[in-house]
Amino acid sequence: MNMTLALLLGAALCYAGMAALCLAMDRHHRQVWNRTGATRQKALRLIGWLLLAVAIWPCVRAWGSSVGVVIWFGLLSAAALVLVFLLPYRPKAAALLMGVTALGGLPGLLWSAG
Amino acid sequence: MSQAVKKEGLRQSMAWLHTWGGLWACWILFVVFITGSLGVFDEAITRWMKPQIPQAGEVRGMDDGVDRPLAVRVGQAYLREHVPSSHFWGIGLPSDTDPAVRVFWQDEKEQFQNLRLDATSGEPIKASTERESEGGHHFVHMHFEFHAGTAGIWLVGFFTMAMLVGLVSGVITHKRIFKDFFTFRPGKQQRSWLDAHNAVSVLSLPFQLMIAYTGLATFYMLYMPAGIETHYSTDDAYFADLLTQPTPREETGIKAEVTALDQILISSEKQLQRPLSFISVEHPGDSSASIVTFGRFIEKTGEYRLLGDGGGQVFFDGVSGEQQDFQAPGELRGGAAQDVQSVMRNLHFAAFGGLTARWLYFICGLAGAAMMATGAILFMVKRRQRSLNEFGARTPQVYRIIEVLNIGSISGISLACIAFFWGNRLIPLGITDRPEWEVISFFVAWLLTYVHAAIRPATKAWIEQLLAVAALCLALPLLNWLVVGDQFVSYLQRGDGERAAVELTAMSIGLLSLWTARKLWLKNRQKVERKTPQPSLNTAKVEVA
Amino acid sequence: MKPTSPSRGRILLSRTAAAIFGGYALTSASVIFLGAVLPLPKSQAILASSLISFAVYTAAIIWVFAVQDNRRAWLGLLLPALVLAPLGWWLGRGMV
Repeated sequence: MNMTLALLLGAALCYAGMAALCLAMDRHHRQVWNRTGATRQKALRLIGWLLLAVAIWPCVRAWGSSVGVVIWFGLLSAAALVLVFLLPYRPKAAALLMGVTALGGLPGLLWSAG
Repeated sequence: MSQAVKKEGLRQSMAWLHTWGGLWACWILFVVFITGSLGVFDEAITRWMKPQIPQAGEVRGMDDGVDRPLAVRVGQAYLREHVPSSHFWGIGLPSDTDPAVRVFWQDEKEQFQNLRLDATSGEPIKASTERESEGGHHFVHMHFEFHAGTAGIWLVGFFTMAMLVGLVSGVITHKRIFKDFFTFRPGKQQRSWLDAHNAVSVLSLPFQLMIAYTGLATFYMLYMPAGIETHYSTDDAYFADLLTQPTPREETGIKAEVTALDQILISSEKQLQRPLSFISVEHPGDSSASIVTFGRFIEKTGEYRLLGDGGGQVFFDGVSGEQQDFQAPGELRGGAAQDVQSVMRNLHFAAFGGLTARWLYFICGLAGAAMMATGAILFMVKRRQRSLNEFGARTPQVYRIIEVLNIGSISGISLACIAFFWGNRLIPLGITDRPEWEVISFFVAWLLTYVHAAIRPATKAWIEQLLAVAALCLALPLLNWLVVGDQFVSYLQRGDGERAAVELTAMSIGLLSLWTARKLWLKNRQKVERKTPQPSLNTAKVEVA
Repeated sequence: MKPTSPSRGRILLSRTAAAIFGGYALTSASVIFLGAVLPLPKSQAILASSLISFAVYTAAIIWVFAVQDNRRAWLGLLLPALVLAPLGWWLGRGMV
């Protein structure tokens, strides 16, 4: 797989996954939507874990199984750091970015696999 | 004692350990992390500092335009003439980043010496009209030994152990590690610093644990010699056993000439199918002489691995030139334990996954530095609001010392790092030992930041040093353009992304520094206008500081 | 928690020394011992136990500060060290 594409996909999916897991928590859900929502939070939690799991795929495809996992770990940290400092200043933008990265990342993944 | 009380007691003792152990260790560790992060890009920095060498990717492979057999003859001739009776010779071959031959030997005091020779004439390069530079190696050396040899490696090892303890005690102390996973509440003083400290630490924790542990594992022979000392007579005997290599031989005292090393080079390169990087001769001039040749490490794009990327080695009898052993590039020896150690070392050196891995290491390394900085600042922020009186009557003085050390070790070392780049461009060419002067300029700049921090009020010192970092970072392309005639635009036009990235990264850090200075300045102005801080701030409670 | 009185300072000094030096002694002893008993060729056993040793050392330091009792800390580190090191040396003799 093309290195740049893999990096973009990996980073997008890691961000989307981290953001979903984050917004699944009461405190952060309120930051964006001003209230809690049990169903949405449950869905976000599930989607978050799934996104983080599939983010391994482009990494392993591009860098091989050992290095790919290291890159995945690095992207997880980098994505979470971006999120944690974006969220308090621009909560809506952080949520929007989650939507964009998820909607861009998942089809991109399918397309690159096909 | 109930389980709950016991748990609270453990948390308290761990909080104490984390606060105080962390404080004394964080200054050195901040330096280690900043220079280590820069060291990830040592080659790029070296290229920026030496405009005379080709840009990345221009020279590669067997035929790189260097007459390597001649380079080896030049090296051997010098060593035979000047140090015929040394116990060790080494010849470092010209590489992409250095066109000279490096000769190494052990002097009468068993100290290692080295000298750079012109690869064709064999003349020692002492002073030259070219921009001789320590390059990115400076940051690598600061990172693992502070330019202080074995003592420095021990120092860094000691504080790396402190970091491991700090990470473990920090995790135990942190009450709601998962609940606060993504929490950062800006604009709330002490609370914000604690949030930031928790966030950067927890979110990059896998990297921090990995980098500390693998750093220690890299130097396991130095840090934990007990096993080898007890069970083997020498380190060499242990290595020979572990890697099933020819055992080093005792010196016989019978004089014998070292075989022609250029033939050894040709034979090795033919078998390894790659250029050599280094030739070592043990006991030159003695009949027990032995030679090891090392293949060049080649970072292949599109092929990434954590194991088996070695350049290969060939072993020869030093007198007859007879081949004794051959280890192909990528061949593994030493069993699973050695594989684990190799993986750990490679994980630490960040040379396994191309640019992506390097940038992720850079980011995570800076997160590590931020972990140290936020911890150190949090310590002072907490006590600036309300003294905890830990040192009785001397408490204010001790706090002041801690504040000065914080400033010099955080903004000061950053200033010294960028001053090193300025030193590279400003120190006159042709001066003897120019690379050493660069390093001296780094240390002088660093020392001055402590002096500055000591004579200025704390907040002013922070702001002024951050502004100085910003100015030097942002003006770096201008300086380069004035002195060398290049800057990031001309680099980009030539397709030299590596050199351009050095300046662009410096400028980004400059902007970050400027932003931080401005924020501090605004906050300070507010405080001065209010004259006294609001009393409600003093009662803010936190679990750790 | 505050090192104000001199005795408090001495206690902390002793505890820190126990963690650093006692912990290192125990760790070294563990390398010598494990190097002799791990079911690997000797050189690999030593390498493996050296690699584990940094975790052992970390655990030892954490333990010293967790027990909050200097006598127990010193004894708990040095007694096993005094047993493990000679035992490891003895078991490792003649092994190649």
